[in-house]
This record gives sequence, structure tokens and C-alpha cells, in this order.
Amino acid sequence: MYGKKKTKITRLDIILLLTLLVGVVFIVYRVTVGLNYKWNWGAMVQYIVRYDTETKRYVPNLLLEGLFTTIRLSFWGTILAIIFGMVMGFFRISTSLFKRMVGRSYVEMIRNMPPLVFIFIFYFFISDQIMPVLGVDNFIRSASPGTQKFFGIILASPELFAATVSALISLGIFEGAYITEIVRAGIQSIERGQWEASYTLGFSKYQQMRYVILPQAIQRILPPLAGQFISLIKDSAIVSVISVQELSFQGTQIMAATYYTIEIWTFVAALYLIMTLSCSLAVERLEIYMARSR
Amino acid sequence: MQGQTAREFIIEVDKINKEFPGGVRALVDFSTQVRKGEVLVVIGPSGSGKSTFLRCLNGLEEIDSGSIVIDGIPLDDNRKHRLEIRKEVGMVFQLFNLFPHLTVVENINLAQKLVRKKTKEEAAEMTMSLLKKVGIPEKANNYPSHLSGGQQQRVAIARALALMPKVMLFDEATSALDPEMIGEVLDVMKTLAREGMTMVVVTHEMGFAREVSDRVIFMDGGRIVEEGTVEHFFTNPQEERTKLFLSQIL
Amino acid sequence: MNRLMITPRARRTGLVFNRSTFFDILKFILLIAVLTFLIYRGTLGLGYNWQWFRVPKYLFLLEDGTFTLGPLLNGLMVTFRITAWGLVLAFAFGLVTALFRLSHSFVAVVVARGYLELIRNTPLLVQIFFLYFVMAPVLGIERLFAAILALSLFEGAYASEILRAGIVSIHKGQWEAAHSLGLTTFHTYRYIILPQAIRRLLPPLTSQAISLIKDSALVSTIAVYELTMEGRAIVADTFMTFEIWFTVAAIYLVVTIILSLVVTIMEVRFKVVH
Repeated sequence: MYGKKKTKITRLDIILLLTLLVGVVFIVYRVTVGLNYKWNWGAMVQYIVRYDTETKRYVPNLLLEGLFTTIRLSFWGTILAIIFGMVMGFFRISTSLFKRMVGRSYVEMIRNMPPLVFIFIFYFFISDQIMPVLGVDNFIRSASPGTQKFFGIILASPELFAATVSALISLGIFEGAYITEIVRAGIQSIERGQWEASYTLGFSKYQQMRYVILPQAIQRILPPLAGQFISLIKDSAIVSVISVQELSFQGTQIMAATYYTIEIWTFVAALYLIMTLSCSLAVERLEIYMARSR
Repeated sequence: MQGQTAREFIIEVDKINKEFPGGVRALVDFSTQVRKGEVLVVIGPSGSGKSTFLRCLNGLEEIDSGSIVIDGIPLDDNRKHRLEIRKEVGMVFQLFNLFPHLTVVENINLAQKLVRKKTKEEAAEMTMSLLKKVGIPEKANNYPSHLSGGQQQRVAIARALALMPKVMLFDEATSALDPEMIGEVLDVMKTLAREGMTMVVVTHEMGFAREVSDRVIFMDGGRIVEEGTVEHFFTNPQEERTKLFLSQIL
Repeated sequence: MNRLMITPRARRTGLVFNRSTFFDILKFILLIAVLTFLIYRGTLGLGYNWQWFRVPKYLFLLEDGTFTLGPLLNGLMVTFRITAWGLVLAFAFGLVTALFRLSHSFVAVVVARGYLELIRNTPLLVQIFFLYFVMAPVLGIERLFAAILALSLFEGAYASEILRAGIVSIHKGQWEAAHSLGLTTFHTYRYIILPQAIRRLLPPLTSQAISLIKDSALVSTIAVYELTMEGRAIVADTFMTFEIWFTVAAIYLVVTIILSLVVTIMEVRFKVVH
């Protein structure tokens, strides 16, 4: 780990390059010769967009639709999660023991369970028990075509509406637990002195929060919050297991139909990479902007 | 160049330059030669480059240009040369840098076994004799955190000596010590000097310099401003900068 | 009463047991009771048939004095095996990656960062699918190993960050002292840096183990019969969705909470470092 700043070729470079070369050659050999795999990258294109003979236009096909669903799930899921997270975050630092217990239980329950198991329970619970009660399905089916189209763009088409909303709520509650901790940590990171100073100046609790604590806390919360959004993009893949038609689900569907495993999963992985990396870049920009305007 | 028996200079530094990122020129055409057995004391204000000079001698810092030759071995890109130099040059740090997870004897044994390839018994023997020499044999099985600063530094000196180096470098070895412990460390250093060890010492302790040093260099801005014997510095410093600095530390 | 917010320090110095505490706890228990009641009545009203009495036999069987584990607890054992192997491999991947990132070799740094960016920006599910459907046939590895490999590659990426932070947290002076004594980079890592780093790394690494246990549930998507998969199979057979999933969730909760306690204990004990 020591000082030489000149870029030289070290022994490790040579060893690694050789290993990589051997590895790549081996894999390509095994794939083409051993497995008799018929490469067909071209076929992927038809699953991205297809030509609709009725409307005579190119419409998104399964993969793009899956991508859009993932984006919708991530976006609305984060919004819900932020709502849950802020409420529970305030609960966790409340002076009321009751509220603190509620907040703590919420966080501990979710954080100690696999996301998959949580989604199974909650999705089933919400879609089978809550959705009928709220009449979500009826609402969308009896809505005007205009309303249906609107919701189709920002959320989901009528057939998939209830299922998507259920998945959304489940994801929101799940990620909300992590946002709770982010909010809590952010507020608690504000030095005691800020509380004491505003207290001695006669601020009420609400005023303390609104004018002194929260403005400072928000700055500390935003970066990890953005990170959580990126996490949600990845976690949204889990709902493919309950047949919500996001990107990973479409991947499994196409794979079942065509067996082009390498092309499909490479492409799906690449799409996730594009989503997360562009969000990370945006976050970095945001952090620089925020640091500058301090 | 190698293979000559009695070399005149054990350290030959020829016009070395070093610039840090940000444009700070730590060493500017710096040259000096050190004889075997010589005790060279380097003084100067902070930022003068004295620590940098020391750290270049065993490869902790890289020079941008110029040459350094230790005991006939050039300090260049050759790995074998660099390793040899690190074996022959011992260093004592301001912050001791003892290994906290090892006991005192383990600290001193480790390099002997790994670098000088000694057996456990040979290393242990050398370690105990060195601990006696620096005056704390009873602390052999303690962890560094149980020792005072002065004791830790003496262990650090023993650790460096265990490799039987030809040159010992001291980078402000007493600057981080409480005043009452400086003496015990300086005593060890003086003993070493009197035994004929080649030493390059960066320090503010002029009393030490007066007792055992052969030559003193005053550095500022990466260059040698003035050099001579200790007496010269005390009685007849030439440069203005030298006088100013001395008035601050004496 | 103008109480300021409850700081962690205040909370640690113990609850103040007074009347409001008592009522708060009571309110909380009441809330749980009400929620449970609502769920129970609601589901019954919508035609769900609760059959808790059928659950125990999926946990264990006790007949003729012999104790056999039922499918759920068998699945838990598989989960433990996957987690154990996964941890070992994840640590290995993580350590190698951390060392690569810190090395001078250009290729090593690129490989490490490429690996990290790839793993951290794609869902674990997609990685499992890729490894099982694409790489497993290519490399000729079977299902369980593919699952363990996918998990350890995933967790290894996060472990490498923990390890790298731990290594970097070792004071630079240790490197300098080792350098001045002539120790090689390997020796320095082996005898000086890593022994010190591991001590500080045990709590976060144990948290990593907890993550691994939770993430292992995802391998049920490729039909590896660990705890979650067993749960799905039983639900598919019997339709006891709530009972089984609550039970499975409870099992995970017990395991992870116990491990979390271990982490807390470790964090306290390892504060007393040399």
C-alpha cells in the first residue's frame, strides 16, 4: 500500500490479465462448443419494441414495459416509504414511550425479516384483505377511459392496477423501515446545543423542529435517502416473485419462452445498471450542488 | 562502485529534489555526505524539509530527481537494492509506531525472523540483550499500551537496532514525549552515538547535539542554510536565518 | 413539563418508571391486541380458515420418543448451511477485493471496482438468475453451489467495503514502521495490519452474516429447499398462507434477533482494545 506513484506494470497485473484471458476463453469455449448455445442477440430487439399492426406504430414490448413498471414501482414506492419513514422516524424520537415502542417494533420487525417473506405476507394480506375493502378494483374498472389512461401511465393499466398498488404498498412499508432509521439518525445527529439554544430562546417543540432542527437534518438525510431510492430500484425485483410485471418478471417470462438466457439476463442486468448508475450520478450532482450552496 | 571495502561515505546524497502536490518544494538541490560513525544532527523550522530528507533516505518518500547511495547501494527502482537499504537503515519515529497487538518482545522479534531470517532462539537472545541495553528488560512481555511514552520509544529503538542496521535515523524521536521522559531516550541515543553508530538525527534537543554530534545542518526551505560543528552554531552562527532560529529554540 | 427530545444518552440511562410509562406500555399492548383482533376477524369475515393446529407438525414430529425435524426446521438447517458456506466465501471474496483495491496493480484495481459496481448496482435476484441460468450450465456447477456462489459474490462486495475501511483505519505509522523494518507488503498485511483490523471488523462482519441469512431467502426462487422454499411448498399444498408465513417470519426473526444481540455484545466487549 506504499508510496510509489509511478504507474508501472506489476507482477500482479500480468498474473491477473493472464487469468482473465484464460477465463474468458474457457467460458466462450464452453458456451459455444459445450452447450451448443445458439447466440441470438437480435431476438432481444423484438422484446424491447414491437410493431403494432393496428396502430401502425412501434410500441414498447415486454422488456420496456417491465422497465417502466419498475420505474413506477420505485418512484411511488419511495414516496410511500418516505411518508411511512418520516412518520415512524418522528415516532422513534418522540417523548412518548408508546410512540417510541411502536416505531421501534415497526423497524425491528421489518429489518429482521427477509424482504421476500415480508412481501409474501403483506402482499397477500393487502391484496386479499385490504384491497377489496377499499374497493380499489371497482374504482378503476368503473372509472372513465381518460382516468384509466392517466393511471395507466403513472401507475398501471386497469387489469394490473390492484396488484400493482398492493405491491407498491408492501414495498413502501418495507423500505419505510429503513427510511425511519435514516430520518432518526439525521435528526439525532443534530447537536444537543441546537435544541438547548432554541429552547432557551423560547421556541416551542414545533418551532424547534420547523426552524432549527429539521432544516439542518434534511441536509444530512438527503444523501442516504437517495441511496435508499437506488436500493428500492433493486429491491423492486423481488415483487417479480408475486408475478407483478416488472423488469425481472418479464425476464423470466421471455426466458421461459425462448431460452435465450445469456442475452436476456445480460440485457436485464444492463438495464438495472443504467437505472442505478444514472441515479447515482444524479445524486452526486445533487450533493455537489448542496455542498456549494452551503 | 560496489565491492570497495572501506568506503569513505556511508550516505551520499546528491542534489535531490522533492516537490509535494500543491507546489510545496520540500527539498531543493539538497546534497550532503555522511561518514561511517558520524552523528549528523539536522535542525530547522517546521516545513524546512528535514523530516522529508530523513524519510527519503530509506525510501519512505520518493525523490523527484538526484541520487541517494547508502553504503554503496543506490536507492533506485531495483527491488533488491531497496530491500537491502531498508535492512541497513533503521528508523525511529516521533509517534513510536509500535505494533499494539504484539508484546514488546514480539515487536522486536518479528522483523528479525521475517527479514533477517533468524531462528526463534537467535532472535530472542538478541531481543533480550537489546532490552537490557535500553534499560527495560522487565517489560519484555508487556503490551505497548502498558508502557510509558519513554519506554515505548526505547522499545522502538531496540526494534530498529535488532536488525543490526548500519545507519540509524531519528525523526524527532523525543518531540512527542513528556519532558521527564526525554532524558531516558536521549541517554540511549547518546550511548549509541558513543559506540560508533552512524546516526542522522532530526531534533530540537541542542544539548544532545552538543554532547555527541559531529556535525549540525540547519535547513530552511528545502536547502542547507548553514552547517558546521555544534560549537560553530553556538558561538558563531553566520546566517541571519540561523541566528533567528537559534534564538527561538535556545 | 418541557422535556427536550430523548437523546440516546438519556435513553441509555434507563427508563423513568412513572405513571406515564405504565400507561404507554399498556397502550402498546392494547394496540397489538386490537390489531391482532382486527386481522383475525377481518380474515375470517372474508372466508379465511385459520388452522394453527396444523402448523406444529411442519416444525417437528415427536413420535415413539424419536424427534425428527419437520420440513420447516429442515429448511432452516439448509439455510444455516448456505449461510455458513456463504460467509466463508464472502469473506474470501471481500478480502481479495479489498486488497486488490488497495494494491498498486492497475488491473487489480479495475477488476475490483468493476466487480463492486456490477454487484452493487444490480438486484440480487437478477444475479442469482444469471448465475443459475447462465453460468451454472457453462461452468457445470449444480444448483446449491450456484446459490451459495451468488450469495457470496453479492455479500462479498459489501464485505469488501467493510474490510477495506477496517484496513485503511489502521494508522499509517504502522505501515511506515513495517516498511522501515524491511517487511514485505505480504508480511505487513499478515502480521501487522490484518490482525489489528480483524478485531475492529467483527461487529460489522457479523451484521453482514445477518444480511446473508435474510438474503438467502431469495434462493427459493431457484427452488433450493431452504426455509422460505419449504414455506412456499407447504403453502402451495395447504393454502395456510398466513399461518405458515407468520411462522416462517417468526423463525427468521428469532435467528436474526439472537445474532443482533451477539453483535451488540461484541461491540461492547471489543471497545476494550489494547
